[in-house]
Amino acid sequence: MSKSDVVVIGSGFAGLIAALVSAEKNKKVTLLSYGAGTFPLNSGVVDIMGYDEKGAAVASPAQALATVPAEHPYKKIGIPSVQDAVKFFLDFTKKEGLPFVGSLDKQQWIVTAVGTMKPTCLVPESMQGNQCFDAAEIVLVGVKDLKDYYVDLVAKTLPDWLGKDKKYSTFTLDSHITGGRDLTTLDVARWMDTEKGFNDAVSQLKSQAGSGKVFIVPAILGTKGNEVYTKLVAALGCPVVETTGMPPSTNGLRVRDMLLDALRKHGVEVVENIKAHGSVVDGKICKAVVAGGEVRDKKYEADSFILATGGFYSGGITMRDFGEANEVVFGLPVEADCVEERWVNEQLFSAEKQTFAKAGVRTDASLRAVDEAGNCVLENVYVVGRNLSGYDFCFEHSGNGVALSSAYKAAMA
Amino acid sequence: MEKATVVIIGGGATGVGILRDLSMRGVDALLIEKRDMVNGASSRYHGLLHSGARYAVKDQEAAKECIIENTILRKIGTSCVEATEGLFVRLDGDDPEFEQKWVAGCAASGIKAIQISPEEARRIEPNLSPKLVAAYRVPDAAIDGFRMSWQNVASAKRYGGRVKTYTEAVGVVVENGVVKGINVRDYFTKEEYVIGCDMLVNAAGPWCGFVSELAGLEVNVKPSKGTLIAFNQRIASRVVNRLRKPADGDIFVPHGSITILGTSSITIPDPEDTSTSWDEVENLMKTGVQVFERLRDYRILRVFAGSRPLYSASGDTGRNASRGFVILDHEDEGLKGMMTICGGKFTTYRLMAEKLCDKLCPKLGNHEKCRTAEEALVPEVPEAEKKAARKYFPAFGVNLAATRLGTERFGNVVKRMEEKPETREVICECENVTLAELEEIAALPTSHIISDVRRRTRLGMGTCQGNFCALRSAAALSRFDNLEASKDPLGQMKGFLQARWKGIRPVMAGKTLRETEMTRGLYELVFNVNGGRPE
Amino acid sequence: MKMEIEERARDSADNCLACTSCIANCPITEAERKYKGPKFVGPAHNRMHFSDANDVENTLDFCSNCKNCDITCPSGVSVSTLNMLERAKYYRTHPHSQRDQMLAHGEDMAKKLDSIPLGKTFANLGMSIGKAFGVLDMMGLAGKRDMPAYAPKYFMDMFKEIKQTSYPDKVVFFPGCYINANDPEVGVAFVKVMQANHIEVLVDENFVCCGSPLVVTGYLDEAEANAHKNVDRIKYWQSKGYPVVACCTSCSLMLKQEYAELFSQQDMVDAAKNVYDAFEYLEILEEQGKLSHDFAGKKDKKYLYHAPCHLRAQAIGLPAYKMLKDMVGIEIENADAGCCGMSGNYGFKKEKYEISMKVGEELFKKIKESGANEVVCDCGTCRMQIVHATHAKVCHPIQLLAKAYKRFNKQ
Repeated sequence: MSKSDVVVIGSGFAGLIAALVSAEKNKKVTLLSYGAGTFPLNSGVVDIMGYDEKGAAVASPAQALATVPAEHPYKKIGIPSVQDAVKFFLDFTKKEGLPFVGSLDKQQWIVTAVGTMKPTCLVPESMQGNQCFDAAEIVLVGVKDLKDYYVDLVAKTLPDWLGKDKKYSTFTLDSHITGGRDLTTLDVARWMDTEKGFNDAVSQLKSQAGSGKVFIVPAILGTKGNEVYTKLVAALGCPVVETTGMPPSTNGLRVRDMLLDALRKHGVEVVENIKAHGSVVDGKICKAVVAGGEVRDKKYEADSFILATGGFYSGGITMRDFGEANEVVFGLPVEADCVEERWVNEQLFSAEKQTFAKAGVRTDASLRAVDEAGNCVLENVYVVGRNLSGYDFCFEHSGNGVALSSAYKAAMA
Repeated sequence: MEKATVVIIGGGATGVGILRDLSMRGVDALLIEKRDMVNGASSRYHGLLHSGARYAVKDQEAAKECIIENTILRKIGTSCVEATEGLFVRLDGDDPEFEQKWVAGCAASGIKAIQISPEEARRIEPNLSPKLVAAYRVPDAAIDGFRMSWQNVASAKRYGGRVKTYTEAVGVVVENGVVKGINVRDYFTKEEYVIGCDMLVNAAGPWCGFVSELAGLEVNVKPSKGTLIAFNQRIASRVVNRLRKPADGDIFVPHGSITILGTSSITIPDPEDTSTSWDEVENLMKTGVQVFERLRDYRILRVFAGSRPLYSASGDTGRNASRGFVILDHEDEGLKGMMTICGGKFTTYRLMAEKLCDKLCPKLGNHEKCRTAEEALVPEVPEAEKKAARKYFPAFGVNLAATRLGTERFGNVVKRMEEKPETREVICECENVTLAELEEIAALPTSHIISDVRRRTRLGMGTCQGNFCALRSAAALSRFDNLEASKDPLGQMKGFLQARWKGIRPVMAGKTLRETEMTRGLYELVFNVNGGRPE
Repeated sequence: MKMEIEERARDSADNCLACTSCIANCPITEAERKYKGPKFVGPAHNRMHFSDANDVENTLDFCSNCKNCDITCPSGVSVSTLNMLERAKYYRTHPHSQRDQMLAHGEDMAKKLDSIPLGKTFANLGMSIGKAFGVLDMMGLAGKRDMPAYAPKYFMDMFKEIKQTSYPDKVVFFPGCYINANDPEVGVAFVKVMQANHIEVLVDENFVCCGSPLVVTGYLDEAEANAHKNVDRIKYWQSKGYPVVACCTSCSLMLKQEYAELFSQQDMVDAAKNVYDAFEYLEILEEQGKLSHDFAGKKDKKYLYHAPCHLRAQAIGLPAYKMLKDMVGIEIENADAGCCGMSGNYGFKKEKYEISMKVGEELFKKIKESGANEVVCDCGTCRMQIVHATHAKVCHPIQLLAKAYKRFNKQ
């Protein structure tokens, strides 16, 4: 009863994809989850490669993939797996009511909450910033008393990205939500989920609609699927572009819900609030992962294990004292260049990748951890997502792309 | 030409103390500061209001001075002082003889040191090491250097005192061996102009040497860098000192919701050098962890450093007013109208100012007595007013706002919150700073960049180190024309976080790493403040 | 995060990065505009006390202690426990309402009624009359609800009449107040299941209320006194080698986790190691090859399982659901619909009733749409909420399991 085909450790983007792909292959999957991961922070779009080694904007992610350095996870994952993973994801999201669009050949640009634009590859239909490029007029929609989105800040910044030749107007939507706590985008998104809220929003925004106009709205287009988006576009007759947002990220939560719903439909066992912190190993084969809560541990046995525990933020890799980085479940060797002069750049927002961001587990081309000599440490344990070494996802804009493709490849193994 | 009777150079504790004292004695005084106020040693130390017990063995004169000033500062600056009291703790392995000398020294200096049992010490401070063998209670306290300095300014203003920030001294105007004025440059406009004065006071702390050079003089001040670590929680509710010969890293001071561990002492050539290294951090940690054994598990918010102005007399040129600080009257060197005051510690700033003014005022024909110890710096916000305002503030916000703002500004803020309910919005959730308070401070003539506003409101200095309020404050402040934020809100937002980064870089391990990953995930990724445009 | 004894809930606040996970997943925050969200109450205010000894967060009362924040926190902060500690602090200097006094001390009330002839009968009658006349409303209780009726015989009395076969393997059953006084059949089913597995069930008259209703109403000192009593007994049984097993998931959470989080005492951490949720224990028996599989044939009934939040917080997955589905072969689906909204005595409070019903909306919808014959849930207050909102038939999974065994199969 307790042995699974696959045990996935971690329920961030990589973990959920790994569990999903395994389940679609009819494997018996157990997912060990601790916390909601980075979804509340994550825009939920799939960045494949936004900026190259020198920090130049990438026009074709497919081409950029071909030129990543040897230590980069994409090199281990391989371009065919990335292509398959992208196809998988696009098909999946279409089935699940939150269709993503995009292609490896062409970078897309989405609008951020501060009015900059950000490169990415696969986006939900509501966030297609490319639609802004050809617009004659941009209507920047703010929401009255919204704490985390400032339309005047966006208005100051966006023209630098879209061009000053366009017409920019602002409009303040009134949610009529009064009293209580400060208003956040999630509150407004939930308001738009309701019929009353949606109709109220449409009645106000309609006055601004017109040909050649594009609406840019904060992350308020509902909390599940893309129904609010499609209805709004139909009602306004204009393109609508949703921005990224301050936490909690509305789209991040949509993606998480979509993935968890799919896992449930497949009968994946999700164990919540549980921390994996050890393993039972026989030679180079892992027999079980040891995980537990406050009181006792349990052994979760499987034929293969997918480690999607994240990096420093999520606690997959810890470094309490300088120089002593640990991978917390299997004790896999961690590459971390802990030399004072190199560990951190002088600038936070740097022209170069940050060394600490690249710390992680080095793997072979099958995504299994290797030691310094290059020998595989555990043959049936796959490392996916942020805990892979050799890349700086914040600099490159490659996080969910590595997560998606590494998780896909590991699950297909 | 702009003119003042006395121009004071340096916006640290010494300078503002002198500004207040002179103003209260009726002397027209203007203070110039090259950047924002209180940006030197006065804000970069552990914020300890000494009981003097640290000097009880080696320097009883200094100890006596401390306890007297401690009592005075508590009285005149109640809203700046957290009466935390302090503990001196001896661990197993520390010299018991030192303890005896220390007890005797406290008695001789008039410092009340009450012995308590190790069990009692660990009952009142449960995080203390079980290796504790002796403990004493002393009247240490925690003091907010920023706030007290700004309150000195507020008090001085009531008496006509003036302040100009972002105004750097670049030359001294001398005619026939007499100081006539000071040449200054505005940091933002780059404009240079002269301010005329009869007396010039060099109170530039570790920069004293640079300023005196402008007048062709030599003041032998050696900046000594002290590194401090800020922890994310109140490890103890009291100041905790190590009861042994003073060394690095043996003081913990609670400040509001955080704790500061300090400090060290390294001679540096340049007082601008506020960098810290892993070694310096480890140096403090390895001592600190002996007192609080779980120290390495606690989250470090940031590290910072300040340079102390250590004066070393080369020969006998200075007339020492008191041990620890020195007052130099440059008339002795042939330059009439300039005095330098250098050295000292925050706890004795008021006394230092008093001694300098006692020397300076007679030269101007002013014989008023010093009253700085008698009058409160600022009136306290009445309890009734705070009570009435509670409904507008977030929980645990009204006291913090009242102490930060003082009576007049508090009143303005409450009025704003009444009339414009949207300003009750909490911009910095970690330190409970409302939009109303932010707007009040942003409008001040001394506010130029977001960090100026941060220093006055504690915005971004709490748990999330600006992750959330950097965006909110950049947006809110972009509406103020006097702020750089209005021209370049994104740049200001980045600058704000970059300033925080300086203190986080040297401790990028443990829990601090997590927070930086979040900052980058938000600002580099979700907001893309660092990436370039499509080709 | 495994907690060392020094790492009190208060210390876990150090880990909080304000990531907003807890706020985004808090069912109360979603349902109630006034609530600021868990992060503000516990973790944030825990840091701010120094500034004002007397200030109070006025949305303190909204937290239902459902544990969803703890489950979603990626940083290991004991958010809900910090909230409860804030609440306790408030009540140290403010009086309790009579309503709260009543809701917190269910055990005392049950004992009193038991000692009066016909006490329970009259109480039940009184409660229905009270409901009809709006008296419950006036007392600050949610007048639309039925107050839980007292069983004619409490479990601890029924137990005395059960003839068990004695076995060397024994467990000590912790019924908890609800099973004891209101739903004793669950306890009886537990004994049946244990007996089917050659285990003898013991009870301990010295157990007292786990303290959960006391904690959530801010009677922290009383809860601590109860904790000490229970922990003494648990350790006694530990010394004898007998595990303590609970069917109520709020009781097991309190005994296993919350005691140590709230009160940080070594003996509570030690005692926790001897406490099991019933199906957690059965799963261990199965791992050891000791669980009987002597089940009767499949039924035609369809079941829907609702996972109590307090179970999800225990890091043991959903052992009842798993066991019934995989091992017993029952046709059962997981509602996976979040919190039911009741959370102990929260939903009984008049001013919290609407919130409680809003929180459970998704679950109620799923129940109605599922076409299930019966809803299965390990938590007594969840079952009450489900009955109130949907009139569905409910049972504890242990009752289903008992019925599944051939020897108890009447059909």
